Amino acid sequence: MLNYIFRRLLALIPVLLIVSLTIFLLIHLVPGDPAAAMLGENATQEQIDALHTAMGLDLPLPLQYLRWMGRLLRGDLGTSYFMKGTVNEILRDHMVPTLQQTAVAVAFAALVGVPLGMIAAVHRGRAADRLISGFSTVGVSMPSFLMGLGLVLLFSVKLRLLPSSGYKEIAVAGWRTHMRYMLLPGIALGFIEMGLIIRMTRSAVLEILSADYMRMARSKGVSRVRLFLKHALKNALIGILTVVGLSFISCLGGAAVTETIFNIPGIGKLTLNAVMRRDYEVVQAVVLVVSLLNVVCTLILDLFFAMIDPRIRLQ
Amino acid sequence: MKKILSLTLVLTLCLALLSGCGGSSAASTEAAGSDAAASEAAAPAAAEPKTLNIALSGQPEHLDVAMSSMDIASEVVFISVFEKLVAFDSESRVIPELAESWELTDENRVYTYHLRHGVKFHNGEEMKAADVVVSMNRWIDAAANARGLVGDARFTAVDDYTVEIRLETGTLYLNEMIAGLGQQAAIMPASVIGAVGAGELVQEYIGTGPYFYDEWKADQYIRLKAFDGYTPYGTQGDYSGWGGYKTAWYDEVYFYFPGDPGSVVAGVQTGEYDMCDQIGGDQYAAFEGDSAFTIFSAEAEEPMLIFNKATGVGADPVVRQAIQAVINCGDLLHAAYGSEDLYNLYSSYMFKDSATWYTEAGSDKYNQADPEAAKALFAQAGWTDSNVFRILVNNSSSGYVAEALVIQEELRAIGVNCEVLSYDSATYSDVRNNHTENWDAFITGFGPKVLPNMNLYLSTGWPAEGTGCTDERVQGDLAAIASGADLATAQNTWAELQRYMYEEYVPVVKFGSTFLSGVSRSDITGAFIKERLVWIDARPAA
Amino acid sequence: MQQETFDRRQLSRVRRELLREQRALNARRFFRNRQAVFGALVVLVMLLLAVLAPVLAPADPLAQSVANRFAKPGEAGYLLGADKLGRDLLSRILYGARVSMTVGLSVGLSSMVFGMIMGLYACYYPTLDKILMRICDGLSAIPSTLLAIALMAVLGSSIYNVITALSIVYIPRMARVSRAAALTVKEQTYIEALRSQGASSFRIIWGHIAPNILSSVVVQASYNFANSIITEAALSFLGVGVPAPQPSWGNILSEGREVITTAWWMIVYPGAATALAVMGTNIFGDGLRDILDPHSN
Repeated sequence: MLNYIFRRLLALIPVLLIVSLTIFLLIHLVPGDPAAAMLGENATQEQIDALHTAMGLDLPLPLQYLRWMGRLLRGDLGTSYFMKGTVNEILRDHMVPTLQQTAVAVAFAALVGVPLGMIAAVHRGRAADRLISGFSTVGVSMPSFLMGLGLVLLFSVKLRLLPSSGYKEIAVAGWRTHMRYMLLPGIALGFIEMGLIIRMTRSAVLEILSADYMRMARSKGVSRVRLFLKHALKNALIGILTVVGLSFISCLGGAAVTETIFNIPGIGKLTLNAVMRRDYEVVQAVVLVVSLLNVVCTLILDLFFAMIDPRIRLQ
Repeated sequence: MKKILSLTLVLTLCLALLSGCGGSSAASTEAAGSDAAASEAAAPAAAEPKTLNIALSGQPEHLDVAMSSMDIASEVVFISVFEKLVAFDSESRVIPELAESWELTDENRVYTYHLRHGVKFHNGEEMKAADVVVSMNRWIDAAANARGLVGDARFTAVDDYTVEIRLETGTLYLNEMIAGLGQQAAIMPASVIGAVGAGELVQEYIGTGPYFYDEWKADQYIRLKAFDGYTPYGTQGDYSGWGGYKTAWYDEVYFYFPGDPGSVVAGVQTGEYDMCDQIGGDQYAAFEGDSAFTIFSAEAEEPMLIFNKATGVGADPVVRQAIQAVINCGDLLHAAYGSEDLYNLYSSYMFKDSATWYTEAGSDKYNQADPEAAKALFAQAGWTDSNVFRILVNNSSSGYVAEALVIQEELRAIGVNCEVLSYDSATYSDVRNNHTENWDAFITGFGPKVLPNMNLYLSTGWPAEGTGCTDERVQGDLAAIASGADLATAQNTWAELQRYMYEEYVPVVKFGSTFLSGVSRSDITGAFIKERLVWIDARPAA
Repeated sequence: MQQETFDRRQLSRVRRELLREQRALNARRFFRNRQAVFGALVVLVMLLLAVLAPVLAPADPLAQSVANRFAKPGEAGYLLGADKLGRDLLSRILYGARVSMTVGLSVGLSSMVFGMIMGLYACYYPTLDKILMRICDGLSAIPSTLLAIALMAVLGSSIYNVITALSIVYIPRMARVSRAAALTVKEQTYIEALRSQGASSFRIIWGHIAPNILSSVVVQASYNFANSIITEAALSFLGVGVPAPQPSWGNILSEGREVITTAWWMIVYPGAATALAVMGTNIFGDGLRDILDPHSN
């Protein structure tokens, strides 16, 4: 097992190297330059050139990459051309809203998805199952921006129940207000994941219910409810937890869209803004960190599996 | 044993991950905690701080307004944080600000400014001639407009409280240039400017105004706070335009960036924001006729199609005349702004309220909407089906994009190929400045100017060298206007120049003049638009 | 020698028959699966609408009429209303279907072809495998929306660039799927046997492994089809996808967002079209998977 963990950790290094190289090249290939973005519409080219040089942007690319790598190794993600503070601070500030939103999304997806999935499995083939399965298909087919717009149209424009966009810090505005602002983006972001969780829960529970030992237990007269809660749920939990874990990862990546719709100052919007104004260091840092989170979360899930099922380690 | 070890390893990994994210939340709650503590400590001494909440139509890139003309940044710091030697009153007359008085001598070649004594920067230093010289020269170096007027001349200090600039050719309009919006002649401490290299942006925003820059939480808000060390100039209650007696009516002013227009409307309606800097035509209806809100508007921009006069099909003046002939300005502005209350249709390059320079010369060539005339001109220019007219547009402005699409459609109707290149801001600037061979015209808008020469679109080198008005007559006439002492002659020269530009040269096609409208709650008075939102004199209604 | 040719001929005949039977069985199973049939129908209708857009659309999707800006559905001959420039929304949605279907099909196909090639050769050549899979890992570690946004920023917005960018995003996933499938096939004894007989690698890869992984690849391609419709709409919504004035569902939605308080039709109709298209493709994909690749669920 130790050996396995070590191997997997080692395998992260080339992945991250490729991520860093990809994003570095991509963002530097984008036409336009941060100096121009900073100086605005009416700047002259000579003014832009002067700032370009002052910002160290006319160094050869390989050198810029090596410099960036060197700073990364010291834990320094760089500085933003536009925003005050280091990228580390900026990232930290923007990570909070995204994590909060992702938490709401995953909580919504799990709290709705898991019970529905179970109900569908227990009532397999009957009306309830068909209804829930249909709902999950709608769920996986609703892109977050569509869901977001729909929710705004319904809850903000028509019913005037919830704010249409914005973000309130818990420390400043309190929990209730914070949640009022987080609810719609969270649901929009979590809706696809809810669909997936319903599906996975349903099939995981079905698999367990049809296992031999369950049939045996039932024939021995153990009550259905007890059987379900005590055995089926416990055994299906691993599968369900995996989907929930995976949905956390995909929410992190998908937040760019909902954050734009709901104007939440998270990392998704940060990346989009940074790409738009060519804030190279911010783009590089955010993508690298999000990708790191992504691979590490996947790794942790894999490791749990490897502990449960030793065969995986050998692959 | 091994199993336990690996379990711990996995758990450590989890923890590391969590602390990576969690560290931030811990830090932020800590910060928030200390904030709360600070406000608790302050609570018994003062009542609830008076706060003004303003929703902006976007987030500025930075606040160094001397280096770039950013409308949104100027709404935050212009007048409030930074001040200049002179300012404009509501009629765009020059009034003193940091300069108490000035003299113009030697055939309008020498400007001497006498500075106020005892003016404090937000960092506690006193403002002296050295600061003014460094700030003004940095501004001249950065602002192409100003350089066009003063040439190689720069400011020098005469004594601690006097500065002067000696020009090679005289001009009457340096004060207007200084007082204007655009790249602003903001006075900053020499120490702040000295801390960065030439051409770089300042790292600290320190000025002399009634508010100081306090905090910028990226993507959330900018906060200004009232500056205790501020002494107003002039007589109390006498505030006008961009200057006069300024009072910090609020303890703190927050600027938010709600993103889309819908959220701005919702936020103002629910009272989350006290005012907003602009609403579009499609949002106008939400406030019209509602006594809880005040809408304030002013003519603020002239959107234009600006030709590439150096290369490509736009280099031919006949093609430019043809495009001018086909455009239906009413349709175009209606498509972009929705409500007829939001724009005026008139030909003068200079705005209506600039009584000195307003002229209708050449008007019969404005808003022709004449497809037949356009066809004839295109034929005269030898236009073929293989020719394409390419309009470059910044896709962050839905108004400009709509205007480009209407022109495209009008050209398509007479069988002229037109391509709309709509790019994000950074690509747009790059293509516009560095790849002039890839576009024939672009759309942008300009604010009112006090002098024709200040219109960037009449300069030779904007946006890229050669694409501007290199025409000898245009530049000759403009130089005459800037230096001529006789106003009547200058006015006449300008009218004839405008006629020439409408009838022959056609450097741009002016669509009309559009209004900028802001909204505030009715229990707040004193906010208005002069080119952009001016909130400094906004205060609770009596 | 003769013996071998005979064997081979016989073998291929048997295989053909088996394949035919399998196909017939699959078809029957497919038509029994009502959901799959429904999904297929939706996809078919969408494709038809896209192809026939010029015939079906009541108006030119670019023709403007400023006087009728934001005409309500049913007003002034606009069945589904008009947009900011007075363009007919129904026509724009129909033409938008062209964009979505073009992007979906192209990305589905290109990711299938390139992903499959990568997966097949990776499974056969270990060194190549290491390099390719590291690159795939790297690319798929970056969240797809972010990668697509960055790619679009580099390429510039146009429908072809959307296709290129989304292909780059989806090929690594496809390569993984086909590699995994190919590895299982490769380990089967008959492939070993073929190798020991000295069959060329080209023949083994394309003649024996490829047909066997086709089902997993097709299923994955159908999901890529659905996902690329979503991502194209999202990119256009964010302003980095298909540029104006070309109508795309994402474009219409992003214009609609500005007027969400006053012109609900700008959101509801293109939204419904997007959701329906994605749902149809997803259901169709599920049906395909149940038939072709029953173990992957």
